[in-house]
Amino acid sequence: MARDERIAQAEQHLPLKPTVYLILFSLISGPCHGYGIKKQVEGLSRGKVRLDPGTLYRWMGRLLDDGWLEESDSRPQADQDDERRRYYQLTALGRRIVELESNRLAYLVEAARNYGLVRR
Amino acid sequence: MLSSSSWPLRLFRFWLRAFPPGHRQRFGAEMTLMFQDGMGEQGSARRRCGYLLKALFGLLANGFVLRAQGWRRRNSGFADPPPMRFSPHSKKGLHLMLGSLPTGLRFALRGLMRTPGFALVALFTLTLGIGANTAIFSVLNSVLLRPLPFERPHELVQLWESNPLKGWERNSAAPANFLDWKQQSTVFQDVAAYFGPGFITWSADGEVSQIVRASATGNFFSLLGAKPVAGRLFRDEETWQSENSGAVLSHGFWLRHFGGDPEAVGKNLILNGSPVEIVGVLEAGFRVHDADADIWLPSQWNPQVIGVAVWTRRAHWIRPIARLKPGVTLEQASAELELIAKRLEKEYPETNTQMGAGLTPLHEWVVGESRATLWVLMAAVGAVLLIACANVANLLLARGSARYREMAIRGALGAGRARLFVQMLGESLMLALLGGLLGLGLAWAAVAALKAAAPPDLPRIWDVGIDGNVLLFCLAVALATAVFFGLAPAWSSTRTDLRSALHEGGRQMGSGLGQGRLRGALVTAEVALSLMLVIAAGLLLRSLMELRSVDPGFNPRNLLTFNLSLPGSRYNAAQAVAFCDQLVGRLSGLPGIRLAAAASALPLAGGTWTADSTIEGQEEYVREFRHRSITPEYLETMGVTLVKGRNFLETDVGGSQGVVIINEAFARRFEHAEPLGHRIKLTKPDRDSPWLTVVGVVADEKFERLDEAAPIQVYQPHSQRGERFMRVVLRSDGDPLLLSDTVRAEVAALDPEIAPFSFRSMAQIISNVLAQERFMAQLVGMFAALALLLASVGVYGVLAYSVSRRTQEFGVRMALGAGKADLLGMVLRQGMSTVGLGIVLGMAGAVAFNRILAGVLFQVSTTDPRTFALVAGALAAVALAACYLPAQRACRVDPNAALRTE
Repeated sequence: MARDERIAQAEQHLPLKPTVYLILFSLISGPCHGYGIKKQVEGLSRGKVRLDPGTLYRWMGRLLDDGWLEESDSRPQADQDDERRRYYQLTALGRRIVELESNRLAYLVEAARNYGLVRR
Repeated sequence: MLSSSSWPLRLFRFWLRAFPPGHRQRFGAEMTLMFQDGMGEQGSARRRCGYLLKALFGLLANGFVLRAQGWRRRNSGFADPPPMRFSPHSKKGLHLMLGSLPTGLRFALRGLMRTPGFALVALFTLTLGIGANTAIFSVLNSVLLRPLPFERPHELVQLWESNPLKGWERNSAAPANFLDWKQQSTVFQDVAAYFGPGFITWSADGEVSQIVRASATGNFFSLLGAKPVAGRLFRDEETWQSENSGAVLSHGFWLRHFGGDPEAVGKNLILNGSPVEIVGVLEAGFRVHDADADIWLPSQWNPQVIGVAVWTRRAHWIRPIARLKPGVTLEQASAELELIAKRLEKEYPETNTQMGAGLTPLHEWVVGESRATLWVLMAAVGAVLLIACANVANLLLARGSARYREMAIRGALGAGRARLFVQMLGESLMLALLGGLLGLGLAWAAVAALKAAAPPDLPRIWDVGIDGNVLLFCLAVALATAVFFGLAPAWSSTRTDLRSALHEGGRQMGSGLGQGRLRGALVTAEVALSLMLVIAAGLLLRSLMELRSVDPGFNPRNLLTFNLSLPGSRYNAAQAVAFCDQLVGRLSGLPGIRLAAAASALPLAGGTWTADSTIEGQEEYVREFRHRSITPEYLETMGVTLVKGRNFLETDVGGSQGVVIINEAFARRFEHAEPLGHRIKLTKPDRDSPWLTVVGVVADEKFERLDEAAPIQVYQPHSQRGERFMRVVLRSDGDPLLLSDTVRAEVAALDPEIAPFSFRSMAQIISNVLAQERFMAQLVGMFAALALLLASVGVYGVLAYSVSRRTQEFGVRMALGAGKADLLGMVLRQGMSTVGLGIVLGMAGAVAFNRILAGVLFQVSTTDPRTFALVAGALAAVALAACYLPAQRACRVDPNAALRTE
């Protein structure tokens, strides 16, 4: 029950910091380990956001504590697996927050498009 | 990929300490892995270097944020972290600054290497300042800031009893009361208690030695969350007499005597003659602040006695610790405790009248009075850093004006003002960071020295060390100093008027009135601050001297003391008396020993009984006086003056009339002027106890502290009490500590099973009592000396600089007929006016700020005029010497040469 309530109130966390959004977004496609998250974030931001271990894991701690992320049992990349790596995935709350933030951004982009600010 | 032992990886692992321990445990391995992956990906050495720097910076910055959050969380009660709220904010400004920072730093390093003399002096000054601050902070950090080494330490509280009737505040508790609290309270998860430490005789391989033991109720370790490294810790039922109970070893004792062998568990120790099984070993780092024991024994109380017999409410000797239930506030808990105490007061009026109960958060309890000491030290050392900053700022200003033209040319070539500013600040930053690094080394060495010199009652001193917090502090101090000493010079040297600078050759530039005034102000501030410190040091020193010259009521020269504990299984009271008399007789016959005596307690060494006393025919009774038993030789051996009456005699023995000697403090409580011949009993008026006749009055001996009036004391003949725990005291001809081997042999000749222990000279005991005061006086004195040195260097520097700038002026003055004496006087006047202002301001500052010393000083006022005058005079003399050298240089100016250069 408490969890549903938190999901219902997920809106209060918006807007997200760009770094947090990128971290959450990089987990949309499935569980990933720390270094993988860093690479995805780099790709998503076209190389603009390069996370150092300190920054990434400060946020990871926070996001795990707040229940936006959780550790994952599945280990998808079996061929390059290293037992020291831990995999993380979005919780329902985390997924909901990315969704809301994406919609918020989409609304902005839509508005920008109406003024011809966005080129396809 | 990076090999696991390469230096960048080791560096990264070391810097991981910037993160709080919990976070480090959780993510440390992953972060290292990620760092390794990232390093492996970088193509060139240059990029690897950049990546390493960024990673290290990331650790520091994020570690700082996490620690700051943790600190805020701990200090805002037990609330959850504030909800996550993100606000978009721009980093543009910072990025701009940081963007040009690497370039600035590179320039800075080059610039510094061009003037190695300046760089060395500045670095030396900063190293001293930052190093001293880091060292003192590491003590402050371990003692005050670091959480206690227990599970969820913020929930722990120390419980105590207080009683205005007996003058008790925060006293130990009576076991029966403790049991009632444990049973009736609803605000605690659990309540446990410990007591001791004390000594116990340990026999192993034919040798006997005394080791420190403490005892605790069965739930003590589980309440604190201690873990065993081998075996088990106490079980709940071991509070009461139970089967299969045994001793728990401290980690240190286990390593020292069993080499860390887990097989030690299950073996037997012979303690006080009987075997006790070792059931477990405590983890390293578990230490109870005031019971640092070698072994822990379960309390093993007898349920027929404890909590039932009256005396277990009357004697107060255990220290309870409780763990609050989550969400319970201190006020709620203490209110309930008071309520229970009120109930007990009604139920047991005889023992519990006005017996209150209260609680203190454990951390506050442990830290206690050392908080004030440490903050005073931190303030003192902070002042040293300020002085160091002012000195370096002065050096930079002087250098800035010498580089006036360089700046102007750079400006003319198109360097923006911001870029120049960043370059200047970069130099400061470089200096500060290097100073911080060296300072860290200095602090590391100083911490070892501090630990050795610290008073034994400074809590948690064993924890002191350099950890992540200290590293961050050092970095923060370095950065703050960089801003502090770098900002003004950087600002003033970038305020260049290009045209005039390039035009006039730039010689006179930058030494203008504004900058001169700034430099003067800095020196004034230095002098004022150092005067305050020296006055503080002077006051502390005078206070220490006053304490040393206090007459303790006995003669402490050439006294050796040691302890004896006779096992109850083999010695009854009469046998104990006989043993003692025999030992004292043997010892006093030996060469080198003039006199020997025994007593159940010695002054300033702690440990005695208190009781209430009734004077015959007097309604009001005397509460809480100290009583102890002595042999007849005691007064002469200690050098205590017998004011009137007689000493104890051989005939004052068990069967004869009970006699006592009282001290003058007690004699004053007799309504009739003459206490001799009157009778007292050592209990309240309504209770039965034999009457004892006062046969003598002796001078007051200080008992617990030198800075308090001597308490009321009563002496009984040892032969009429027969205690088994004795302290023996010897007066020797030479160094008393040389006698300990002789003493051991004599004791062994009487009974080989008994080991005398705690050999200390009375001088050591007194110096122990004064340890806190001495520690503070020494450190503040050291900082004051440092401050004085830095300030005089500052005075010298500024004046020397100004003299060198005014060479032509002096030349002209001499050409116009000024004599050497005139020039000397002029420069001295100029220098001393700055110093004089500093002295006046420093005096005012000392009056205002040294008030924080009021609690620590003994018989010295915080505005003691003698100290003020002496220190101001001394400082003026030092400053005069510092002014004299440049002034002399001014009179050696050759007018011809000086005018020719113009």
